[in-house]
Amino acid sequence: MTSSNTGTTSHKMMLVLAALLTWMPLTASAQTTPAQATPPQDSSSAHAGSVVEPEALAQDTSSTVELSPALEKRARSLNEQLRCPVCQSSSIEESPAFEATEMKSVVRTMLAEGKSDEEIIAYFQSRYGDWVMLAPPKRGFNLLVYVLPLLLVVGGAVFVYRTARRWVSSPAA
Amino acid sequence: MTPPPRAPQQPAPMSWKRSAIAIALVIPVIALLWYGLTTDPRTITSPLPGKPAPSWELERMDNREAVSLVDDAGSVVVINFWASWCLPCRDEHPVLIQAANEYMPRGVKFYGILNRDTESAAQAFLDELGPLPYPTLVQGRTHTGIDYGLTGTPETFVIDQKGIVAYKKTGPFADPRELGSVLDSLLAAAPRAQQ
Repeated sequence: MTSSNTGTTSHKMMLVLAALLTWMPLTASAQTTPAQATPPQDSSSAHAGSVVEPEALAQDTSSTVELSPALEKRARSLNEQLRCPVCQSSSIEESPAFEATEMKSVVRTMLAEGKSDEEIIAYFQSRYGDWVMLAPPKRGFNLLVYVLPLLLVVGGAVFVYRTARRWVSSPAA
Repeated sequence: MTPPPRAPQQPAPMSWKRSAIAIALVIPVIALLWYGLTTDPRTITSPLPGKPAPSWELERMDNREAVSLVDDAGSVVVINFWASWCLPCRDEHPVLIQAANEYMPRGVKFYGILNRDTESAAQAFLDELGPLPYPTLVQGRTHTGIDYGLTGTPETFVIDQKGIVAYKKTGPFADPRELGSVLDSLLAAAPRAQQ
């Protein structure tokens, strides 16, 4: 009876830990939700207590470089990989922010100059670091992002299987 | 001789062993999640410090004269990206003036680079708060801000005598001593380069 209780306590403890693991990412996403729900602001929100910006920006370098359909496709693909430095969680393709527009313009210019996708990505990484990639490069510490969920799923499946099997074969059942 | 009946219960030490394994697996995951939850995702660590400063050739706002970073090779250079609409830039303005007045006579070059702003608004800002003792440059159709990995204004870069980005400040300088300590260390490291 005592050891049965100990086993049940152990199971409960593991279930609590599993629930905690499930809850924490949910909490994390809940914290980022307000920011994501807010439309990307065309302001340097990172460290500028911005007030009213001038309507006509003399330095607005909107994309004017004409590209072939093939290069347009590559530009869109690259834009979707690069993170907007102001709006954080969206790509420069979907962001109307000034910085994103500038970055798109740089992508188009570099494509027109004959630069490869790798060269363009390397340029932005050299300026903003790996942060600028929406999908972290698969190397070093970033590998955890790719490996950990898989390990958790496999570990969780093994745990659930063994627990269920024990419950089915236990005398109490 | 019949064997004694087996105890139906699981031995207690096994449960503790499983618990210990579970905890050993879970703790690193919780630590990782904790790190993620307590880290500001908006903080961008610039890869530029320690790397060669991106070169630029820009026009002065006042007289359209071209200025190039290459011309200042061998000098410590301070580049401040600013805009008239950014409130921290207003707070930083007197700090930069004080630092420039102290270090320009010692050979340090200062430049302001206008970011996301009109020249008329920038001029009105300078008329209101006082002129800068160094040139303000306009980006025109260049992408100097992107070259420096700009994420907002103000941002300040200090380039050493070898053309390497020695320091980056995100946000305003509240105290001229903060910039001064960086400049002092660079000037002390290579005093001859300033002559």
